[in-house]
Amino acid sequence: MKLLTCPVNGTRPLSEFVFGGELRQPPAADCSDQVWAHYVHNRNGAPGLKQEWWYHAPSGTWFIAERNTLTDQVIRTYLKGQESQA
Amino acid sequence: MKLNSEMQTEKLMTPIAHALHGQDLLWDDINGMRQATRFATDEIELARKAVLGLADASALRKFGVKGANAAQWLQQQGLVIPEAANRWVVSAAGCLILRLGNTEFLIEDAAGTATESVCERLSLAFSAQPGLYLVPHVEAAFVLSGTAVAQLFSEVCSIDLTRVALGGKDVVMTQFAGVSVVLMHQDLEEESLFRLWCDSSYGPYMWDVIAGIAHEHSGGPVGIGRYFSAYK
Repeated sequence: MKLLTCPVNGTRPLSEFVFGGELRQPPAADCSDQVWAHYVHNRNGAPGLKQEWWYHAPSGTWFIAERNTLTDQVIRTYLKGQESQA
Repeated sequence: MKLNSEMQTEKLMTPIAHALHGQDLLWDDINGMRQATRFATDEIELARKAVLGLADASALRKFGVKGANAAQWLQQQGLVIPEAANRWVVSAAGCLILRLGNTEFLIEDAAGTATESVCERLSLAFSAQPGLYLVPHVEAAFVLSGTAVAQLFSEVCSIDLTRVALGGKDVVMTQFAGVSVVLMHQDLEEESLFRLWCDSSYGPYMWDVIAGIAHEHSGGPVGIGRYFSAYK
């Protein structure tokens, strides 16, 4: 059974979580249409260490997991804004 | 064809009512909600309760509030709140106060009409303001007890939910038979109980699953009065 650790509720089976996509920084509001279209439509599919949004469904907790998408190893998880405490 | 007014239910029904059709039960009203209060003879219900008893506690009044100022507001209302997320306390009036997150709380009234309704008082005192939001709670609520509870948990949960693992005042939010639930352990009226809440739309399913497993262990549904003497 795969496990993931919610920073609030602890380690739980992966079936309790929903993947929310890669954490990405949106471009500036006054960016060009081309830059905005790139942000909306394109994703970086290259494997490596990524920050991802995950959702613990039973408690409604959104948090960030740093995961190596090549090895599927989760380095750490934390609430947004609490990266330094993780 | 019946008119809409004729088709409407006159009383609030327990969320698990759809799981109880066709059974020979005794029904009663608790806090304005119609629910089954007796499922078998005294002898059978007591035997069920000792092994794996299941009762419907959905009629207990609930009140929910969330927001950055929720903790402060509850304290202003005279309630002692849990200091950390995923913890619970019992108030002086006997009601349960569950901290479901850093800024969200669920309050459930104590059983019985003799005690003050904290939820009613909070509802009257509540007024919308920044950082304070009302959360309607209409969950299906259950009480579980007995020697086979740990076996039930091991069949439907992926994590250790035994009394030792839960700790004294922990609130656990996890999946139970595939449904998101809030769960805690409580010693009440000299009994060791587990309390469980889930979305009311899953109430009949949850009742069927638990009652089915309970029957395998010679347990089963019992009246709420078996756990809360105020409803005997």
